[in-house]
Amino acid sequence: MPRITRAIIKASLNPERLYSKAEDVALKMKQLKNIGSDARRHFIKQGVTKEELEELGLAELFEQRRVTQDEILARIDENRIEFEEEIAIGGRASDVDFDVQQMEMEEYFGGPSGVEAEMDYDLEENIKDYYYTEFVDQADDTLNERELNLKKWSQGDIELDDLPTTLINELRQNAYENVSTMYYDDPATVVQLYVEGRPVEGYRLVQGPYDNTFLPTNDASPSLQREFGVDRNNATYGRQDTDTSVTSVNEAQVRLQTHAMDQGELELEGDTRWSEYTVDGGENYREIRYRLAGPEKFREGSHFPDDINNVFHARVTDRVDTDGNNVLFVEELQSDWAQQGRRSGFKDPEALAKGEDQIRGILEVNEIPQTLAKFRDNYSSAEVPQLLEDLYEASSPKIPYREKMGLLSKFDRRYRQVVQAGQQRRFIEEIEGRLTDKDEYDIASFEIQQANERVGTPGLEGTYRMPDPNLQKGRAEIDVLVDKHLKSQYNRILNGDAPTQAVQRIAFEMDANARSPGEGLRTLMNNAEKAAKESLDTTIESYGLPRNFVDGLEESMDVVRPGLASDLRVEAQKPQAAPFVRDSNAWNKLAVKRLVGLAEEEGYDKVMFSPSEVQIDRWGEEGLRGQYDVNIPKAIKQVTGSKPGKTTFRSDYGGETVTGPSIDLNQKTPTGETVAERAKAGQTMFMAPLAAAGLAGLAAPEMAEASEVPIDEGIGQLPRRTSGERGILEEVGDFARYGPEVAYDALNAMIIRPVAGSIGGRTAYDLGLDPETIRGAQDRLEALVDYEASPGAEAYGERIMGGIGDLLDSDTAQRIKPYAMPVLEGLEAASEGLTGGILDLIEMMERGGDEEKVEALLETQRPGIEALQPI
Amino acid sequence: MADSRNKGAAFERDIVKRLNGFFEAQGINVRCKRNLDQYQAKNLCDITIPGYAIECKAYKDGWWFQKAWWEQVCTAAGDDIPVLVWKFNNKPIRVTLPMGAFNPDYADLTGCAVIPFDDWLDILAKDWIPNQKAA
Repeated sequence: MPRITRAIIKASLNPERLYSKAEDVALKMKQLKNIGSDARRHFIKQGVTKEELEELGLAELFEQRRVTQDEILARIDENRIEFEEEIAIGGRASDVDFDVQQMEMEEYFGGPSGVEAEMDYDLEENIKDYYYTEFVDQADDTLNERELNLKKWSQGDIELDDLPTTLINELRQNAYENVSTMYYDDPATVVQLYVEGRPVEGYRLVQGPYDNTFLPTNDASPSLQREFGVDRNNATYGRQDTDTSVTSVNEAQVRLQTHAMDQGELELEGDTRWSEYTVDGGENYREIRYRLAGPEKFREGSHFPDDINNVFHARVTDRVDTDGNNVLFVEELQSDWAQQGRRSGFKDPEALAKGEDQIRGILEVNEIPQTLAKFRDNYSSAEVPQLLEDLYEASSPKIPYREKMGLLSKFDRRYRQVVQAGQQRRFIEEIEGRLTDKDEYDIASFEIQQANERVGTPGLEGTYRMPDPNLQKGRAEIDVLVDKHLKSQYNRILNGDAPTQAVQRIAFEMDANARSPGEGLRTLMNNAEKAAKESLDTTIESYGLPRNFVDGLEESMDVVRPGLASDLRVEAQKPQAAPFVRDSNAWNKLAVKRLVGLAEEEGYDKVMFSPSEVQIDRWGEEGLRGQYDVNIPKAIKQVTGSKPGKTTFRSDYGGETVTGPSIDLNQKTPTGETVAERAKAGQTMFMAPLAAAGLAGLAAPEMAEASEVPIDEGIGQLPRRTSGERGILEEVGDFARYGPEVAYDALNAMIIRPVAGSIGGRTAYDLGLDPETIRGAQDRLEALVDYEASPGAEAYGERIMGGIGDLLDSDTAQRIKPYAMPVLEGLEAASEGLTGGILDLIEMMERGGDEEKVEALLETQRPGIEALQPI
Repeated sequence: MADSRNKGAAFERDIVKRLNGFFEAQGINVRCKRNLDQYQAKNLCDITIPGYAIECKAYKDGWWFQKAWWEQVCTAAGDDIPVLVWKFNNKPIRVTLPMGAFNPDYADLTGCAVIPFDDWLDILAKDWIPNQKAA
């Protein structure tokens, strides 16, 4: 087995020792200036994935005719993918403790000078007062010298310093005892926060003698002092009320702990959330969240509600397998981001922007956005009436048009409701004003009769009686019944039903031109609506909006495709696409690399993944089989170059065994180093450099082994085969030594993709298309056979891989041949296409053809020529 | 091959360990152990702590506790509060308690409720001292 020494990684490693392959290739570029398409090919050949080229903006950069190394590195730096990792550890809460003690007097008073000040105060306020009372009524000649001095001092005739030293000392001693006795009679209580067994500096709250409240000590952290409003250095000091809400030791402890958490002093956010959902037993339960740094692109909301941009999370425990190995057991590996993207699709920013532009354009026809902007400039939200509240909200420039549409519709509905209410009121007023007393009596009778019909079931007591029109009370009751009647008639008309005779008659009489009662009713309703609308439009106009604003708004809204705004809202709620989450394989590979890296750092022997049975048993979801039986083993194979091993451990209760796919950190990778060594040296973010390693081994194993040429350089020195010493079948056999994926990756990168690209380019050229289209065709055909990027190519890739996989056990070319046929057939066709292209090219150049066309054709054929040269 | 008797005993040991850890953390002067007489005599609970009779059940497959388990612990509990602690492989430990254990006003209700094991410890922490005083 040849040993290929890995290249020295020049790219920067992130804290988890992952690096950008593109940056590494860029830093190792020998030519500082390159043709864009050459640079692109160079990067792909060196093992940079198309995804990474896209994410770093290099795919776009390589569209330029010429690119420099500096430009490439600048672009990589600009779009650098950075991660953040958070590992929650169970049982942190027990590491927090508190110490509750009485505070020493000297500390409480702020040192010796503070105690002195207290003593001075005691001397002046208490001791002096004591001696004053003692001697004030005693004649001087009855007192001895000491007493006389004390009397004079107590009456202010002499200062303390004028007393004899012995007396001063005696008084001060008394003062000290007083202060001390008073203090220790009810000393200050201080609560100190401890984390991990050590006191946290500045995290102390103190409750002074005779005080109810706990406040920060003088040496407390500025943030704690600010929180309580006692930070004298803060600008808000004096303006902010002192927080006196903490009155017990327990509250003080909670407050200190909360503050420490807020300040990040206490990593309680490390608390785990899902530790119950593990295989029985195990220790050191942890939850690892690996996320993209930067602004919020995704929030999941249930697993880790405070997190954003989690590419994946892994829940792990420590186990010891049946062979005594220390195992990092992955209880769960999941990407909520990728999962949501797979279910709902990812957000399409272009479609979103297009839809927004469409709505804006339609509204602009009637100058709605401009009018709303002006409206917002002139009024504050407090000044607008209820009718215009939604309109005001819609005028906010921060609200996207898809949301504005909802608010504008809401405003329009409210406008319509108010118009209708006004129409009803006017309708009733018009009819009521024309009713005779008899009409009113008849209407009231009708309503009473209706009511009695509703109530009048046999045996039911109480029926309504007709009010007496001769009494004031009766007339008022009749008015109520008429009003009720007219409201119901209004609703009947709205529903297309005919009103009662009296209403029809009045409506007919009101309209001189009406040829029927129905026409009269229509006129009445229209006039009532018009009047209501005019009144409302006058209100709208008084707020600086055009009188016909609603007409224009409704006209615009009618043009917007129904459902467009809600479609856009749905689109906006989809997760944003981002590196790694677009396909399961990408994030699974990243996760496997990270977990291997973690296991290496912490000295585990193996990484083992939960078997699907455990997940299905736990969650009852059969769909999890795909993730645990297919995606994870596939990612393991791609990252390590080997099929996953099997590891077994016994769970706690009854010694049941759990067996799952695993990675042995001491197993050799195809490049000869162990998985642990590779993880230690650094791993690519986007893919394992196995294809490149396989290629180097294939091309010149003996050369690589002898000179320990770094793989990337080894690839650059691939020998150009001109003789028929070894055919392509032997080449395939060499590939197969490193596993089918390696072989396929190598074949794909080295031969299939460039040849396919050439064929695509050539076909487009034959059709007489322009250079840009030719290039597009070339890209599309390349993508078609790109196993990583194209789902369509998966089956094709699997077929080839299946064939190559069987070669592992084969000895003879005869046995190899049937499996290699698809490759051979593809290459044969490609060769023919390529030969034709080259001949055309030569002919054109000899004829002195169109330079642009020659250039285009040359570019399309270049990858194929380069790929086939060694063969 | 898993031994179901061992499995049950291991689970009981785990619960004893968790309870003793809890008592120690709370400063409660109680230590419990498995009731080994259960193998000789019927109608004895797996673990007894003052005021509570605890029956443990650990099985490989399943989603919910069986009515018979609950009846068993209710019979064995006598005047103590019956507590059924149960779990299935790959799923969290759950605790079944009578409604009265949550709220004395519900003491005459015959129903029971299921909560996570840690939540039961929270209830114990809150109720232990008053309950013991009352006892």
